[in-house]
Amino acid sequence: MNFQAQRPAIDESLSFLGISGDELGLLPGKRDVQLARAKLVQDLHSRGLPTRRLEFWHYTDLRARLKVPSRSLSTADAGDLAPLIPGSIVLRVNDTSCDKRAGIEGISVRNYRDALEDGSAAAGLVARDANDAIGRINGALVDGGVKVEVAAGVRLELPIELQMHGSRHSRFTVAVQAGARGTVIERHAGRDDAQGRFVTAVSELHVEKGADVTWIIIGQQSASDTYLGQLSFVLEQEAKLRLLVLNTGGKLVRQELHGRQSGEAAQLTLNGINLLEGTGHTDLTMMLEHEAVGATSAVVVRNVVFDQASGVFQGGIKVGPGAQQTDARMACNTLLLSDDGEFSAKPELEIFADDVQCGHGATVADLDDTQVYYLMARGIPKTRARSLLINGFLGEFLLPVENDRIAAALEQIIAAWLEARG
Amino acid sequence: MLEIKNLHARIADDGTEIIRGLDLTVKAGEVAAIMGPNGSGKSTLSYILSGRDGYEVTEGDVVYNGESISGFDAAERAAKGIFLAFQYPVEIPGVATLQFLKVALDEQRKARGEEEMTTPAFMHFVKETAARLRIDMQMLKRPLNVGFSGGEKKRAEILQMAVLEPKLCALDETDSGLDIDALKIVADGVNALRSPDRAFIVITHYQRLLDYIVPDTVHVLHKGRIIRSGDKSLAHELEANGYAEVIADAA
Repeated sequence: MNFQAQRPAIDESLSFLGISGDELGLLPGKRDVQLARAKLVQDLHSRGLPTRRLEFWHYTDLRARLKVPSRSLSTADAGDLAPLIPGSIVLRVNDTSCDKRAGIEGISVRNYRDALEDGSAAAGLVARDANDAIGRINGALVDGGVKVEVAAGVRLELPIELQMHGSRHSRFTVAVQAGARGTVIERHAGRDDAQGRFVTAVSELHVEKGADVTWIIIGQQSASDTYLGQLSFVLEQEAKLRLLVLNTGGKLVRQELHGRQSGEAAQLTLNGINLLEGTGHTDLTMMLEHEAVGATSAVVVRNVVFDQASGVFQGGIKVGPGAQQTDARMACNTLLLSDDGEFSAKPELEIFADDVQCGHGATVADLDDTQVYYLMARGIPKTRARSLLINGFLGEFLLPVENDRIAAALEQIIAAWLEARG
Repeated sequence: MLEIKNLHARIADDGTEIIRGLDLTVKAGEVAAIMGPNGSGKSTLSYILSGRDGYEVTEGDVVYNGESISGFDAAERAAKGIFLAFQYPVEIPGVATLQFLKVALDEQRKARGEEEMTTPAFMHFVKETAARLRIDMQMLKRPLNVGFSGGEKKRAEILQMAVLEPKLCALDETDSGLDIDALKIVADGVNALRSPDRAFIVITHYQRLLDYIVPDTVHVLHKGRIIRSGDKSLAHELEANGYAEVIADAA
């Protein structure tokens, strides 16, 4: 019996992704992996893409917006991306030599492709739930990724940078063991050309007891790119996670964050920055579960909307019956700089404990004319004055990033984006 | 340096005429005080000088150094050397005061075709100036005017003026909300900048400020016109007798 015959047939093509069954059959993975992929593909077929009738997808019409280029399978862009912070431990999804990185003390790295090839990845190729279109699409197409473990008590001085460059369908698994501390930068960079890329990324982060992690997702897609991302995380007792998401556009961007604060006194801060322009649509969706006593979460999302761009922040917080003394706060502030732009903020709180503090708020405003005038009266031209104010609106907000170099690098990305707009 | 000729101006939104035939000449080196009761048009005059949007000049002109400034926006006027110290300095969250000052100075110099000041030279200059105005450098690391007390805001305005070195400085009720010690600091800051090639327009309700910033000329503004001009003794006369007499004389 040859290999082809052994493999279950993925007979139907994912036509809406421009991928044929034959192409799917060529993706890496032995029998179990192929079976798992086939199941996901069949699910996608029988369910189709989610419609706006599903609350989870109500503000992002995936059926209308998911128009991917003729070839949506992974293709590598030429050239490497310099890391955001010089000296970072850079892990590229297509870098088959990344195992050699295991030489860095306290970190073990495994190529996810190996897990596909040996079948151990199969168990993970499942959808989270009925609404999990991103998990299904990524699971069907994934062909690379990295698995990282940071050993207990290790303190990483420099960030680990996970790079996705070009069209990619990848998976990252990061486990930070008890008491360890480090920063992970998940970096998605498109390149300006008309072709358009289709990128999906599914990441998992496990922060063990007392560990302290900063995770930064930087999505710099070009105007024709589609990006679907999902980060799931679990915070154990007294674990700390500072999560920062910076999106600078794209044709369609959806970043899902699924979090569980499973341990007592776990602490989460989430800062999201969405910079929207053109006709792009950016969706930041967070579903957070407080499960244990005394956990805190502080969520601030700031958006700047130009042109005909649209966006949404969905912030779901569920406080379980055992999660007394939860302190959960959520804010979404938008600078709407165009009459044709739009941004929706949807808080969703489900509280099953009686001794909790949960708050949420949202604002939408244009720049303040008086502030613009004041800056101009000091000789700052109007466009510069406006960009200073926009930077101020966002910059205030980068303060929680403890590492000055990272904060400066993020400011630089924002400043360059604003400058490119002129 | 400044010549305002038969100026008529209104609020663009509702057409309310605020300035109604104002004439005023201020020479280089002069300190001109503009006094007047509430609603006489003092703040509007400062906005029109600085180029705030929302005001329309319907007649007359403002000529600065021989050039009509009506076609220039606020930033262009600032680069030409016109400075307004605000009655209510605006809070700018997220923009550090020092950063703002550097950007403002760089932009003005760029507009004038001058070289940028290096960061060390700039820091040195700001430190010296701040010390004179008794401004703590720590305060300048905070967002511009955010959480500043009334006195700190006014001192910060004078600091900006000292750093940007304008040629025509309008001070809009810089004395309001200041206690006597803060008033002296602010006045000292202004006096230190007096020079033969720089003119000041000091807008105020009260004569008190003029004890510390002694004017060369005093002008009474009422219903959008200068109804009387004189020397510093006019300010004392107003303080003693109020505006009613002067207004009655002019009617």
